[in-house]
Amino acid sequence: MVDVLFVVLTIGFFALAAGLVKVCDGFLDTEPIDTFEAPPEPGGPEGVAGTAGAVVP
Amino acid sequence: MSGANWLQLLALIVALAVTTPFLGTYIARVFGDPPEDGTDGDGTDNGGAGEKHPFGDRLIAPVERFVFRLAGVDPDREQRWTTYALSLLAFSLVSVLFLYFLQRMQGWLPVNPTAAVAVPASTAWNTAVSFATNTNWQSYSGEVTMSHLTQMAGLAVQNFLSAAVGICVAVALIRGIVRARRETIGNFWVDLVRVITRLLLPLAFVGALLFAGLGMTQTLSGNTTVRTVEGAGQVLAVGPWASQEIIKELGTNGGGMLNANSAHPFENPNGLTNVLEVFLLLVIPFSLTFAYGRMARDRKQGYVVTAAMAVLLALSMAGTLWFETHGNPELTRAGTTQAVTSTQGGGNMVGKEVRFGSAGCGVFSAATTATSTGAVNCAHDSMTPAGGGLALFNIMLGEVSPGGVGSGIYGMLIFVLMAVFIAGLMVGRTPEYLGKRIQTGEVKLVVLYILFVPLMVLGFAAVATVTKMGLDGRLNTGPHGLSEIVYAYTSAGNNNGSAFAGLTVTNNWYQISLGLSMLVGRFFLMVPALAISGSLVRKQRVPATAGTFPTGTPLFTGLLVGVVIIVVGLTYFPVLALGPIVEQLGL
Repeated sequence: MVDVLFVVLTIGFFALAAGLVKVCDGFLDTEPIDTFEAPPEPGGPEGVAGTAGAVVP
Repeated sequence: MSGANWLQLLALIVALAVTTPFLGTYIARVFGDPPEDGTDGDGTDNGGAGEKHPFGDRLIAPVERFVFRLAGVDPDREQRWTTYALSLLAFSLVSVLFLYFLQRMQGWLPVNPTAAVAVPASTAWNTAVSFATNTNWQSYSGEVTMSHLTQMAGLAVQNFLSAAVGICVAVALIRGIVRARRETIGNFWVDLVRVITRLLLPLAFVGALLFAGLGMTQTLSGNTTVRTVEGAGQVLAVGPWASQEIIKELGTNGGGMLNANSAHPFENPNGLTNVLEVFLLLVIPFSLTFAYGRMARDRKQGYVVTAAMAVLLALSMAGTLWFETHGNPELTRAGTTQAVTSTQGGGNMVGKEVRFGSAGCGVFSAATTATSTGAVNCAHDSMTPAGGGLALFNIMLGEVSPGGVGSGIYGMLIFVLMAVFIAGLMVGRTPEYLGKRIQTGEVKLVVLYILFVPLMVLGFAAVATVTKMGLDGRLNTGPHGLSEIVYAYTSAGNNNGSAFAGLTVTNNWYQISLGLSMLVGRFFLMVPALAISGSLVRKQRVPATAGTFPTGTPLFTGLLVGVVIIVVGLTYFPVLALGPIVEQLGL
């Protein structure tokens, strides 16, 4: 009986860890693939640095 | 410290400085991506990182192909981070269950010359979790609890496998940082097999022969009874210790076959093996930093991580040596001589193995707690409060100085991302690392990574300090008793495994809560680390500009060390103040 409890505890933990995989993937799914342009040279015109969605040259 | 102690320390530093760049280059060749043009991109040779036919390929590749075919693994098929992580979790689940039932059934299984009976359920579970998580915390005496079969087919096998799993996560995270606009970070099963066949097994094979040659026990016989010079009979626990000792140190595992661990002459016969053991603890974790520089095709990045780890280790080792070799002020006031003489090593000799002395203990203690190993050659509970407190602080650093095999480098890379984020905030730019922008998703994952362990350590320690089931295990009251409890959870949660001693952990509360700490400290950190890899691997690399904070400089090394110490200090300082600090001030 006690063996069953420890097996359940183990499987339960790893199921939780698998759930964490899902949670972490959720963090990333909301993030677009980084397609930022390179920031402009100092002193140059206002660029689009930090603007998501800009096209990669 | 005696002249011999200084020579041993010098030999250790020289040996590490000579070997780790070579081993790091080899690791990069095995796990790195093949360069597109054979160069670093800046025209310099990349040391062959990721070349298609690394050293030993002709001998090992056929063996690997056979294993892959047997397991149904396609070595050319890479995995997205989620598949990589789930493969790792599935493998570790099976590892825990296999080891649990092996211990429970050892009484009916062969290769059991000492007639060891089934291990009690809670101890078996705690031990299975402990060895599968590379913690190797031991709530049992190896020589009287485990059969030779359990030692060899269970614990020693996990010493290899758990170490390999850590290295897998490290190389997967490095690939995520290094690659650009990709979806995959490698194949867990391929990485696992290659770590074993190309790194751990060859080194362990040679090392085991060396250890046996230096006097370590290696036999399948059971206990031996000898007649002492006084005429009494004494039972000596002998077994296949050399072959297990090597991977115990090389894989930063630390679980001893004998209860006295590396203070026992059968696990650590002489001064040379003592230095060798410390060397083995450190060699792979430091080599991985050089491998990182090679794989990143920017060696300075590897040097920065190496330097940060070395600074943290040097500081803690110097502090531990200072406190242990200067002895206990209470004994000095009582008129006891603690100076080095021809008959004693000097310093605080309480709980020390006289062959190694206080200096040998100080070096070993710092190395074993800084590397997630947990092997010991002296009783940490008997160190000066400050010496023991430094051992505790080393573990609290999150095992990044240089940390466990694999876990050290991926832990430090997480701190690198944190440092880059902080630097980005300070200079008012979007944080970048190796041309990749560090965004909200990665920072959330970094925070998750950093918070899980303190939550488990401080949460369980808090419960243990106010409940009967927790307090019953203490040997001491007051600050030292608190240190004993906190050390146990810190050791488990950070997968170190060393025991402060002075705490009885065989009741169900400790067995289960420590087991859960180990599991969370291992897998709840690996998952965010792999997620960060999966996020970074998709990103486009942007060229560095005048606004980019350079990460290959001594300045960034200083920032990185500062971030590690401040994050850990802010998290743990209150409990350190109530434990070892107040105890030291009371001397």
